[in-house]
Amino acid sequence: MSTLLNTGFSPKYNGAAISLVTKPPLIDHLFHTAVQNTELLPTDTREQYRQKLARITLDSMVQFVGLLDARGTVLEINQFALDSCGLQLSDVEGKPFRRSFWWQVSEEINRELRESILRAAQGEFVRWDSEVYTRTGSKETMIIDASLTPVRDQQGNVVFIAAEWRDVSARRRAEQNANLLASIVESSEDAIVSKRLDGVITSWNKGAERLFGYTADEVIGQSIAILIPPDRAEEEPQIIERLKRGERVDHFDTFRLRKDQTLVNVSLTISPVKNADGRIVGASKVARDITERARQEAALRELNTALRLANIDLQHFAFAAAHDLQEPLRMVTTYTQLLSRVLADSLNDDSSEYIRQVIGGSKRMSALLHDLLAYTEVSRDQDKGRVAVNLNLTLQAALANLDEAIRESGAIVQSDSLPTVSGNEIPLLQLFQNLISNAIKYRSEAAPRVQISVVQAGAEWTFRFRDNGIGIAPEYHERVFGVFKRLHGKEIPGTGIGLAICQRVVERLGGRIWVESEGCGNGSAFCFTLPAAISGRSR
Amino acid sequence: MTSYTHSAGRAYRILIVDDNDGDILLLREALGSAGLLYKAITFTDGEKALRYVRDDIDPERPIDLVLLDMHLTRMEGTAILAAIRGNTTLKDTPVIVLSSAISKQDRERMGTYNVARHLVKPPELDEFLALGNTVREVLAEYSDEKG
Repeated sequence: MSTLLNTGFSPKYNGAAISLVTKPPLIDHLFHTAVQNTELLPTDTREQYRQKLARITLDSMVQFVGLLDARGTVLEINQFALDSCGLQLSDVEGKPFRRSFWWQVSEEINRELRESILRAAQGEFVRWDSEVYTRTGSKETMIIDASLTPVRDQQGNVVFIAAEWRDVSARRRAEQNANLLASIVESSEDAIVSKRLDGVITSWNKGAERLFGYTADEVIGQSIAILIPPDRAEEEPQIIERLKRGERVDHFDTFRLRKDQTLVNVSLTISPVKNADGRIVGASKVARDITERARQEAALRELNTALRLANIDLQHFAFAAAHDLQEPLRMVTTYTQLLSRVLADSLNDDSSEYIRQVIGGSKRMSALLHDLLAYTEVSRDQDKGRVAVNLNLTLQAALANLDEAIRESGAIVQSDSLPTVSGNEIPLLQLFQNLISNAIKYRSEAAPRVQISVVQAGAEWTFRFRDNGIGIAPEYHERVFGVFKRLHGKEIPGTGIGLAICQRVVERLGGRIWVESEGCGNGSAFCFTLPAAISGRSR
Repeated sequence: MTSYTHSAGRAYRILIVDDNDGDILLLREALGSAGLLYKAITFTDGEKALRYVRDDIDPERPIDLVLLDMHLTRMEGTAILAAIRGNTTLKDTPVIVLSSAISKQDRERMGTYNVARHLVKPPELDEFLALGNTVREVLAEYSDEKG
């Protein structure tokens, strides 16, 4: 295969003749050794021997090496080039190099190659990078660092072109990746800084310039201490200690000093940086300006506090109003009664009726205030913190309180075994009592029956108080829970606070309440949910 | 109608402290309708009542009973109660505390002052007037204890 080298042609390289002198001693043991199709023989002349070694050198190189004539025709190519491209020498020998048998190349690469050969043929050393498709596997590309070196004869004419190229994909891609990462870091809004373990700053992105006001030139090589406010001097050693243990510091909210010595509220995330041996040699630090976030959080907290206080105020107001309004109202009632007694003899039917209206109105208002007080007290009770409430006991207490109404109406109340829930005893008692007393109060002709059932679905209990009462038309299903909302006149007494209290109790415990009824005459079912914080039914 | 007097044959001396003069009037109606012969010393101003209890009690002319409203303007009834119990002449005098509503907290505070009755002012005239009978009962209880 080494036809060309056996022609005895001795090229001049860079004008200097290659001289071959004597066969070197001490390598006799290598004879009769065949290496890459080249057999070394004891009978080889010094020159033959040198030619064979050159052949072996060429074929053993891990880069592409070839020789072209000045027109770009392939004269010789090393084994590595052939193997890498899956070619035989016969595929390429004597053919123009620019033919794309090495790689699948684009038009542009072809043109580039043609031009490079022309330039080399005119005596120019040409070197360039090209991204080409490997012949095997058309999707995969390879980046080659190619060069063409003109070889001249003694008259200075270019007679050969030495071609070399090396696959530099891995290195170039690593570089590209590094450049990409660097540009990401550079364009980040956050300040990204790296430092050595001794605190010396080693990199500084645009975000850091914006956040801290120093340019990269001003701070690289300086200590990170220039960013740390004097009263936080102890933070840095603590951070370094954690980094040395290989720990990451996440979302550490603190303050740092800008170039103009103003403070900036930042959230720091600091990670250890390891060298190739896995030793921690420094840290990368991402600092985010959280001034705005901190301000918003503070504003939100303030607003929340204000809202909570306003709510407490409102509760106090409602309580005080309901409480203090009772007093003058009592005066109206009792003095009107006193007046009617003193004037008893001089009153006629009309004036008696007027007085009855005054007393009736003020008593009704007194009842409303009383219930309004009860409504606000639900919140006061529920603010006290929750306990485990066995609802079976709650039901018993409610039935005991309603004993008279139950006996008078002949009501029958039946219930499933009820669970224990997290809540407040008195409000839950009010809930049960109001629902049962409503079922009795709004009864139909038949004796009232109340069936209480409960099912658990996921994380909540659903309770149903089903009655055989007068029912509620669907259009009123929402309205019945409103404060002082009533569907009935004086024929059924009440202030319209009962269901509002029920709704408040349930909602403050994280549940929902609603009514199911197909309308008048069909009874209704008041349903509510409570979180199943304490699982399992009571025995 | 039978009238009730002190065992010494004189009218009862009753101290009434209530910032609502409507209630003072009603209380007098109640005392009268219970047939009590009484002389009322009344205060609607808590400060003045406090000064009276501290400085102006004449041991020769003691108070037989106190009707005290719990929630006075600018003052809690307990301040006056404390002054009453701190006065040598009044330390054992029966006190009936009245309020428009009684909280659990109120009841606990009353415990330390040896209160004869702690009552809610009734919204019904008849019930209110019946307070006079309660006053008579308390007066009887305390004169029994003394006797």
